[in-house]
Amino acid sequence: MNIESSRQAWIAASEETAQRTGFSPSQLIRRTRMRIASAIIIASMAVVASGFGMALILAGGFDVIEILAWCVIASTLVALIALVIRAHGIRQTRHLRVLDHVDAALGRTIRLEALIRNLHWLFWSPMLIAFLMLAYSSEYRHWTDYTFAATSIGVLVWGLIYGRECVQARMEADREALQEQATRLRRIEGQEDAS
Amino acid sequence: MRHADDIARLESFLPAVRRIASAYASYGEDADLHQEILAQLWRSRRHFNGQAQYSTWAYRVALNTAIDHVRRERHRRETLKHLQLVDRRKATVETSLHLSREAQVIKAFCDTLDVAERSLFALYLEGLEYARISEVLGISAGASRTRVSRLKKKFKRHLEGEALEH
Repeated sequence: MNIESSRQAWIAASEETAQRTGFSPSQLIRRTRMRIASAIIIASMAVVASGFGMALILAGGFDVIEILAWCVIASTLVALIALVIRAHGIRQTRHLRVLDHVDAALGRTIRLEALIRNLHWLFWSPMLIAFLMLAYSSEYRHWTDYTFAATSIGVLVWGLIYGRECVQARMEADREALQEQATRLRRIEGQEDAS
Repeated sequence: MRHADDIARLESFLPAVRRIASAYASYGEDADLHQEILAQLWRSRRHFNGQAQYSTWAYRVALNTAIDHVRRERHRRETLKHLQLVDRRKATVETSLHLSREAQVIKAFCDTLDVAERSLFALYLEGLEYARISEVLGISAGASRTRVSRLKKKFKRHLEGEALEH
């Protein structure tokens, strides 16, 4: 067993498997189209639902503070989505050279990590102000409503803090892995210089 | 017509996709990675501008997808371990690529390499020249040559070790 015969065996194994299992391009294309179609349907449903929601708010006799509060919530969410898209980027990088793709992925992870770190300014502060505005203009004055509201907000805050921690830990691990990959690829270049 | 050309090009690259998926994925997961690479090649086909050979471009997409897959899998395993859940996919020991004894030795050797070395070795196995390896990876041809020759020596030692064991 030598290097070349092993290489030939490796190539032969895949040729044989490809012939046996076949390949269905129509299935692949259908699956890709299904993914794109479901993303468009979900986005359209979200837009229609938010349009209905806004119409209901405006038709429901809400006072100025409530409308302002909902506007703050909506604009915060829109701004957050825009910031995530900006940090992530919409340009595909998988067709770039491996080192360039790793660098691009590293840059993306660093930007997203910074965004998550500053989430309290971008998300929590405006949301808290909006909830305080809603509470101020609330017509409910019964203790059960307050208990329900406090419990819901508590669960929401706990969930978001836990979720943020998980995402942050994931981002950190991702950044470390990408840094390691980029370093290893660059080290190959460095070793060549040294030799 | 364009559609048919895209499919024909993809089909011509099919065995290479299978080999790269097998070199990167754990046993039992190579079929998933194979599908993922094919889907990515199909989605990215409009980015192919003809400046490089189709196979050079396709190797870049395939390797980048495989490297991302390895990273994601590592996160998934760590999360499962953290949550103390069992990875059910570990139970599968078969691979969709039916490997001969010699090819199994290559797979075992690939598993010992880090991501950068594995990319180089996978491209060497494909029979690419150093200039094209450097075009795919983004490193110089000289660096590819030096590193591939070191990997070949390492592989030779691995083969000798395997021969002693059997």
